Amino acid sequence: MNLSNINYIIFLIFFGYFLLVMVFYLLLALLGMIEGRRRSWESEEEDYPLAYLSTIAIPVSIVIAARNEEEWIRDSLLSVLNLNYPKFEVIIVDDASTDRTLEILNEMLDLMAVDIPYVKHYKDGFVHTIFKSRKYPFVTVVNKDRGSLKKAGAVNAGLNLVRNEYVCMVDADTVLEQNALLKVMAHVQKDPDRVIGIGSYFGLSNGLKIKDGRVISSTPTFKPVIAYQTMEYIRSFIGSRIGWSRYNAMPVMAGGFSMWRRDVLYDLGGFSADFTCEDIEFTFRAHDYLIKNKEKDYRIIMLPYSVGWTEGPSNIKSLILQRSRWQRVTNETVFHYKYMILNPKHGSFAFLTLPYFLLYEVMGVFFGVTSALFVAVAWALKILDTRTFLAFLCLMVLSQALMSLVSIFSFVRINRLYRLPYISYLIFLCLVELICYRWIIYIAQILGTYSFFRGVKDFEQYTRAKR
Amino acid sequence: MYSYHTDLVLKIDAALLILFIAVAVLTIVSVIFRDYIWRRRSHKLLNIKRNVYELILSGGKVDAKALLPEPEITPQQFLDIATNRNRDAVFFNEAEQKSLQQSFLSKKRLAEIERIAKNSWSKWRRIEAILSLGYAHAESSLSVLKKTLKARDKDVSYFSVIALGQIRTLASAKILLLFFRKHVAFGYKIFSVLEAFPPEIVEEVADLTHDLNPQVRAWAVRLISKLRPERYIKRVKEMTQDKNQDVRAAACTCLGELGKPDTQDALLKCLNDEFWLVRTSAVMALSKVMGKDCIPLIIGRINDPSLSVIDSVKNVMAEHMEATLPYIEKFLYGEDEISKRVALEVMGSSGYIEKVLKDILGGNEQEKRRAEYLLKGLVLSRAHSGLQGAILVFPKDKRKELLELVRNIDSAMADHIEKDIAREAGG
Repeated sequence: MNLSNINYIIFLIFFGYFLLVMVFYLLLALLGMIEGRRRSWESEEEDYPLAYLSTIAIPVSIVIAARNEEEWIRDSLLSVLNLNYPKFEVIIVDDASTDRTLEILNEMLDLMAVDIPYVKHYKDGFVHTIFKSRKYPFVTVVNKDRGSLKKAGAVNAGLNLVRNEYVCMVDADTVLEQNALLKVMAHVQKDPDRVIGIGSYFGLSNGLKIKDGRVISSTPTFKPVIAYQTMEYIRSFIGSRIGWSRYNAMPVMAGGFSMWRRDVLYDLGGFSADFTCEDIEFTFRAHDYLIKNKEKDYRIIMLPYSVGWTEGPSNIKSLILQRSRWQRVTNETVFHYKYMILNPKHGSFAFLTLPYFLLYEVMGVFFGVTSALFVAVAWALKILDTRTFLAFLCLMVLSQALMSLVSIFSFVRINRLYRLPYISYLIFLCLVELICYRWIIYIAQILGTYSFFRGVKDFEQYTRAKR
Repeated sequence: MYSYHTDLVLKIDAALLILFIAVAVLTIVSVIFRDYIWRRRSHKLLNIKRNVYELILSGGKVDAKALLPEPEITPQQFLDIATNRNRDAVFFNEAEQKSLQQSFLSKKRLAEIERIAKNSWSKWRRIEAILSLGYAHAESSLSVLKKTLKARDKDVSYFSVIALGQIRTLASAKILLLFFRKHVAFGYKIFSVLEAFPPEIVEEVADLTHDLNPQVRAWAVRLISKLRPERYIKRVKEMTQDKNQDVRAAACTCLGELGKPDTQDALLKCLNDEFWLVRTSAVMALSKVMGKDCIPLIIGRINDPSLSVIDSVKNVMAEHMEATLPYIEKFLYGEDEISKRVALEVMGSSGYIEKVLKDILGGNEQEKRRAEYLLKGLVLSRAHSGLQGAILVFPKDKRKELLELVRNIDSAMADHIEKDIAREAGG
């Protein structure tokens, strides 16, 4: 077999991969568009005032894990305290912060240490003190050691204190919209017996004007590194997750805002610290557990409404750190739950989500980088002529651009968050994504994959810009 | 030499490029169109608002149709006005909403909306029409809503529930309850809608308490507790002995809401129920019915195997601290660890530790003696966090005095608290 033969076989594999992923993605985006549109209509017609006034509203516990969040915790907490929802409690876990996080919480909440029974249902590390707020009796603060349990331990410590039927996990740098809980719980209320998990879209808060926990100007920053992340959020939430949600095949409930039914959290033993991050693994585990226990009639839903804003990496270095972590946890989870892939017992999750995850999220970096290298090397070795080389390059650029653009199209049909100049800017960025941005993600994914093979499990927090 | 199908790839490139341009143009047009529609919608609403204002000022003497540029108001506009869902653009107050409702929803108009609700090919236009009938309180359209409620499409059915919930009459309640019997999973939504209904519907709801399905019975008794009809107390008391645990728990909660002393016996029986939720509900209900007098009756439940029951007892104790104090003293000096923890938590969550410390510093002789006794109990029960939090509230000189008192009982704990306070106060 000569070089040309090998080259041709490689060509066929990569070409087939590209077409498969693109067709899969476009179909998913189309499903997302249909589902998102439906949800958007639903939301417009929903009677939120009635839900707000109801005494039969399902109570919610909000758990916020905070570690060195002095810059964000104030706005995040204020946004939670301002929520329009009839019944909720808030549990904030200070995960051994070394900055002023606890002090700020004390200033805002007027905390008093209390001796309350604390039962360890979930692995949580060592809890120092539990505080109650004098100003807001429904707010509890837990101060604990970090230990080896990372964020999972902090969230679990909060879970040990929750009392309500649904538990909403919110990141300490997330600012929630005032109607966030109402919008999400209106869906839960339709069928709480089946809805075990629910999440919704949230955008990036970088560059937004936020005052007292409210976004007062949602004009986003045009900084490319942020705009590309916004595009990725849109692609991930609107382009894929909404489509998956339609077939009950949601693979991940983002940690920034996710809601789970408490009995499911309890049955699954809370979040696991054996993985780099906790959110994606928990979603996989929930699917696995429920199917193994023959509870097929459950729903894990993703909604397209904007429920809040979270802080993303503001420079390339931080972005690489965050994305390599995401890649690592994706690999860890898919590897751990590999027996679910194409397993008929696991239904649409095994046949729709997992193959896509394996091909695009886990192996995508390999195919993406290798195909680019292959085309370049083949051209350099004159196996490919310049015309063919450029044709393949265009194919890669355009397919990447189209995948992003279709999600943006779905997004503007559902949301009124961004105005024309910003949307036009995103469309332009789509076109140069492969050249200007994708390589950064590839570097992060390579690092993530490498650290996965090395067995690294650290949760490295990247440095965030000050608000 | 292999062919890399360059021409085919170029053709795919061209197709992708055309698709990209088409979707890009479509996206931009969508945004422009969306913003235009939004502005137009707001502008129309603003016009309507202006005219309605004039109509109100004229005391209804001016013909509404003469005032309005578009007397044929659409279901969408009507909903914008009735629900203020477009409130960022224009807000309609109650008088304006009422005035519009009277002026525009003529019989002819309602018939047109009913036609859309029944037959429109567009599902969401249909839903808007269904909701319009609801917000217009169109009782004459109940038969239409009854049909749409049974529609195969889940969304049509769901929004018919909301529409019927807006009409709020006995007839609409009957339709909802009939639907609920067959669709129990809708319980949360239907009953959150029904709780806003007038109390006249209670007889219809009471009928459901005899249903064979326990979930129906449980929801019925929950709604009765919101509507508060005293004549059904006997039936609710019977339901505390229902075969189903959810029904028993809901019945206890209902008796608590009704707050009648003659329901005590039924609730006391439920304190020993085998199911934790029933016991929890009974504790809370007894507190509502008897107030502080329930403490001796529920105190034994602090050794309950269920944390939820202990939690409810603890909450009731914290509400009635004076009645609880003798028990707290007993628990603090007793041997049982769970009782001790409950006592500490009740003291902490009710803010009573601060009162104890205040009494030590400035109470009368009797208060001081009792407070010192309680402080000793707290220290011996290792109430470290609660004490520390309470001591922190006092100024520095008083803190020292209090710490000395703690030191007299347990010097190690005093040192510990002192260290922690120093750290919290920044050294």
